Amino acid sequence: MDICIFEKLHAQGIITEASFAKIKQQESNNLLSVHWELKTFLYLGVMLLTTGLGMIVYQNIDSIGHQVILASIALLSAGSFYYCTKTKNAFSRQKAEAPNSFFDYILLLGCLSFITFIGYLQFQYNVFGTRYGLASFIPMVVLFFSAYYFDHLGILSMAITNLAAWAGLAVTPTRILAQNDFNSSSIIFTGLFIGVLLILAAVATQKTQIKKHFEFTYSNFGTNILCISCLAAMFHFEAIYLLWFLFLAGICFFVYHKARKEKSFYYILLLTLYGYIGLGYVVIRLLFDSPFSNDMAGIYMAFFYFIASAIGMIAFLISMNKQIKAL
Amino acid sequence: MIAYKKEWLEHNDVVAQLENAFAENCISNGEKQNAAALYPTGFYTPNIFIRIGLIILSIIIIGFSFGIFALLFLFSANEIDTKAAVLCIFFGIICYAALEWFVGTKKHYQSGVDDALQWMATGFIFAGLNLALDIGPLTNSILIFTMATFCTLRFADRLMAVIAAVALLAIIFFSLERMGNTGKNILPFVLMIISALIYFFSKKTGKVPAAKYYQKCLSLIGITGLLGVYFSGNYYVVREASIAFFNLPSRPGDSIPFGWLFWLFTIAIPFLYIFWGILKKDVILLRIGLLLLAAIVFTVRYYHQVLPVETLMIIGGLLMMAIAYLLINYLKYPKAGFTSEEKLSHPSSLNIEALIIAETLPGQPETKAGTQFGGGNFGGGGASGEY
Repeated sequence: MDICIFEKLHAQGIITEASFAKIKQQESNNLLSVHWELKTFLYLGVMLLTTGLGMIVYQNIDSIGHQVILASIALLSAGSFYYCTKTKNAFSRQKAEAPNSFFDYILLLGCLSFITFIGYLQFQYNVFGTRYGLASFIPMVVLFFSAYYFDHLGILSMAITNLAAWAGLAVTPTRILAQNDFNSSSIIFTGLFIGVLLILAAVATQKTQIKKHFEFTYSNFGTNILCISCLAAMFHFEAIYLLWFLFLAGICFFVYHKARKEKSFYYILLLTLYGYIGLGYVVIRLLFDSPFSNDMAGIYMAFFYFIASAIGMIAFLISMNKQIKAL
Repeated sequence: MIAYKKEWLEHNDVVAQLENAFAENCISNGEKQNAAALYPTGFYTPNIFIRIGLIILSIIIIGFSFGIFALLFLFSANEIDTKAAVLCIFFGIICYAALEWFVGTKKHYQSGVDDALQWMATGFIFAGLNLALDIGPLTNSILIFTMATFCTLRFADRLMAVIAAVALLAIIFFSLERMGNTGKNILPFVLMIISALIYFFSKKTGKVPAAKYYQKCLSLIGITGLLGVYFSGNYYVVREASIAFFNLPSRPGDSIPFGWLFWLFTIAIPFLYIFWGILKKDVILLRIGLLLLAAIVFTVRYYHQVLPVETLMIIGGLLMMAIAYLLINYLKYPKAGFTSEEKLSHPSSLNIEALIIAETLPGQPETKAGTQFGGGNFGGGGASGEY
């Protein structure tokens, strides 16, 4: 903090004596917080450890050591969960604060080693037989339960990605477009279903006031999956693309109301971009189905459309920025 | 030189300080509002998400406008290069004029529109000159350096500042490359020295009153310098660059001249940064040093398979957790000016953390074909008839 500025404000009588004293004290303290660095270290440690354990188990299959490794993973998981149950604060329908800085990471360690354990049991002993779904269903249930019971947003988002993976869909930000084949109608319908399900979960979270701070995670995943699946449906089921466009418009309308209610610029950006892609597709389709289709005029009109519509979207964003700020 | 009203930039800075003081519970909301009212700014700076939207849409507009002109003028195939060059430079100038208008008349400041126009203006002019003339890498580096420096000074843009610093290093690289064997041998050392000078330049200049509008640019230039020092002396970078540019070690497995010295740099510099960061209580040095610890591991492992990767991960993971555990406990009550408590002015965003966890952590089942809904052969619902 620049002490000169506050000196001036203090002299002008805008900042009280008490506040100025606090600022001076803060300034003379000059504490450097390494909170983030240490948390990142903890997080990387958990990530490396669980990844390493996951790899070592599969590499030692058929050797005597692998049961020892398996047992130690189970022990690690049980120990972590035991620690978390012992130290956790009382369950609350609202946000429950973590009892200390390590709690969140130990819980993460417990959940991850549990998933490794289940995955290995299935791989080696076929515990769940040919019911592969069950091998991802059980971790999912455990993750959802842990997320609510111990109040952990990170575990909740892992549970959501597991839910989607169980249904056959990859939903994390970098994988959603890269790993899903949106040319298959079953993927598209799965995406639509999961998207709607997550948005319903978000609405329910809001309505029942149970863990209200989970709402954003549900609705963020839900909105993105739903919009991407809906766009994919538009491109895939060409014959009825206008119907899908209407559906997309409906989603955008819903998101628009949500954004205004929550004063969220993020949702405004989402609905603008998804809506813009959808609308662009419809206009291009209409242009190329029209008499202009074999003409250069069609191409020029398409170009002009993109310029004009982008200008329109800019005007929309600027006005939304103003409106939401004023709310 | 700077395109923005200096008074408003200063006011912006004051308001940021007030927000900071408010977040640290030093001043009340009323005090903050009263004080901020004395420091008004007329800049148009929308929310960050709106800014991202404006960047994307502006690029779409400029791109399609260029497309229309390209369709009109480039359709006949004769002298297509010259025409395209003229068109690019023309568009670059138009974009720059628009940028000046948005900044000067419409008072845009980090609005997204100005970001997009700046990138497109420099990009078009760069592309146009390259289409028109046969420019070598050295001249191109000088061109980029000139444009980026100009944009940094005029618009205090952080990305342009980084580009300028990197372009400067590229200029040194390409000029020494021409000087034959002597040049090649001293190249890594010269680059390290220049990077160090860039870092010290950013530190020294940061204290000059006239540079107060460029603090964020200078801090990024400093980071570029620190990374430059490390990667100019990193064994992997030096060896692979020697192979790629100079065909130096003729057989794979051969070492490079002064190999031991580069190993020393590779391993010592990150620890030096961390040590220096703790000594000076400089968070940038500390963070860059910690980040570069990973570079040590990757470099060593690339050439020497000391331990199987999974063992290394388990040991590393346990070690990192232990270090973090000890330090968090040790710094619970501030010691020597360090604390492990969260700063109130930099609160955590749990939502972003949750996304990172979902994205990066292992243990997510791979999505396999045949486990999809509608296939009827997944076991979770218990309703299908296969078992």
